[in-house]
Amino acid sequence: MITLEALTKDYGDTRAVNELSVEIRPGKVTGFLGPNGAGKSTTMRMILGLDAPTKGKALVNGQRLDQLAYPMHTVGAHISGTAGHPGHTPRTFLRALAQSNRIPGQRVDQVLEESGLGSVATKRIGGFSLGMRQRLGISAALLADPQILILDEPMNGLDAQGIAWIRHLMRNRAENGGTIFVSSHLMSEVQQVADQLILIGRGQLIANGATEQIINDFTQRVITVRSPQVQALADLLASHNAQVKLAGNGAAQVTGLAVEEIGSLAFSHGFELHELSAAHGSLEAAYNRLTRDSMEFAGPESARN
Amino acid sequence: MATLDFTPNRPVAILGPLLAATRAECTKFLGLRSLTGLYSAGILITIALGWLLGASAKASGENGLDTAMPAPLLVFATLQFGQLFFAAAAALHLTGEYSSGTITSTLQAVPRRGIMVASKAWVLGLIGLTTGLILIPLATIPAALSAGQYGQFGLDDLLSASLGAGTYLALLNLMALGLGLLFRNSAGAIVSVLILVIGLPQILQLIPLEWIQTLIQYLPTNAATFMATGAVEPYGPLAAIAILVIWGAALLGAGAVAIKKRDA
Repeated sequence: MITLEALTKDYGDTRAVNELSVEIRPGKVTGFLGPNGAGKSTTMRMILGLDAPTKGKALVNGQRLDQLAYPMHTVGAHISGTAGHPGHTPRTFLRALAQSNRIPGQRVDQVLEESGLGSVATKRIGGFSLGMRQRLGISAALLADPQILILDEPMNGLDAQGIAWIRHLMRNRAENGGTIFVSSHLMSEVQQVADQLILIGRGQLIANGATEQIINDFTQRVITVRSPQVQALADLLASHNAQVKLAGNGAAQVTGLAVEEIGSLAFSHGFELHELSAAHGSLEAAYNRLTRDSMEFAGPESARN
Repeated sequence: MATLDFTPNRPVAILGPLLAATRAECTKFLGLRSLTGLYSAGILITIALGWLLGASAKASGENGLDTAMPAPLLVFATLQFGQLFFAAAAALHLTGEYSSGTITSTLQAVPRRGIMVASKAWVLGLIGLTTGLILIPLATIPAALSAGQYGQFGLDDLLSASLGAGTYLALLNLMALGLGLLFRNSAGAIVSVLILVIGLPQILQLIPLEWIQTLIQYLPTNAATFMATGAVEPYGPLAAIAILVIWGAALLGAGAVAIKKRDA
């Protein structure tokens, strides 16, 4: 369980994280979403005790992580692009980490195999691709087989196989009771794996809830209608406060009205319908809308401060 | 998730985590060719310079100049040069982690800054001490051979030079670590080490003010010389050790305070 209590971080006059209060629970993959610069990495760094909060608290199982003697047994973390010295080999890097937290040495080779780096265990990290360095960072997080994983943009630079691996790993560990906190700036990366979503923009909490819930609450349903008299129908729907876009071939995309409302309006005005169907907007669309709104909202707000 | 025996996470534990972190730092230092390479270079150059200075002392002596010097002290004098390699390696051991970003991994594993700094200090101090203790006797052999009668020495010379070099290189490494913690980048740390051990004594020498000339006597390199040569004036070996310890503690302490206050 990770608990953030009014967590706040200022860099000079800029507020990077603003009064963030959330709980990240075990048994779930929690996606942490926001555009670049939203404060995701800063939040994770504060949980890990790398950066000190200006105000508020970040607790792991009720304790500050920087008070633990061997924190890797409690939390495994990977901050994108930081794993390993270029002159070290993966084995040396992981062996040192294992020694520092009294983790049995055989775990080094186990995690190297799991992450697909077994064949390059004695090559220098300096020659690694971004994807290999990501795999190395994730394997470091797994060294002590911790209950909590904190992964900052773990899919950056990974190939399709790597993404499948990390998704499977996160799901698997969550199903076994693990707490997985994973950040991304791309909704599509976490949409399929996350049970819970925390959305932030400009350091502010935008939404926090079950993935399904957020999709339902925040996606606009787009309804497709097709009719031989599409222009007249479009005018009618527009007069009932719907947004209508003609899509050609007698079809129109309607938002702002429910399927039932469109159906009954068409029926009562005698329109002939060839299609009336509702499609869920993608989470991507909901996310883009939310974060765009947060920008518009945050702009004048921060200017006033 | 229960495949491992969990080490209990007691927040108060200090000694266990410090020993564990020290082992890790040792692994990291020895696993970097850039650092072991700098050490090898420093050792080879000290041996070569010892031989060269010995030969030079012999040539001068045969020409009637009084340049005889116990071979171990002659080797100690060449550390003036070799020390740069060792100090650079000590600074890089830390700053390399900042430039590569892996300091994040280090601090995630050892989040208490005091323990992180202490573990690096232990390892660098021990490496410096061992290097000094072994290097002086080793380099004394070629120096004594090339200097012949002009490099004659007693056991006391060998002991004081070896212990002096070990103490000095250990404390110099701590100074370099402290400067690394203050600058957190390789260029800044190495340049400041160079200024401390070479630049300052040279520049200050050009200023003909009495108090500055006195001040020079208290710089680390001068204190090291007084320590190893068993000088009486201006202060003896014990005072010299105290001065070096103060330098090491001051720079390392300043560095430790600095990173405690800053974000990683």
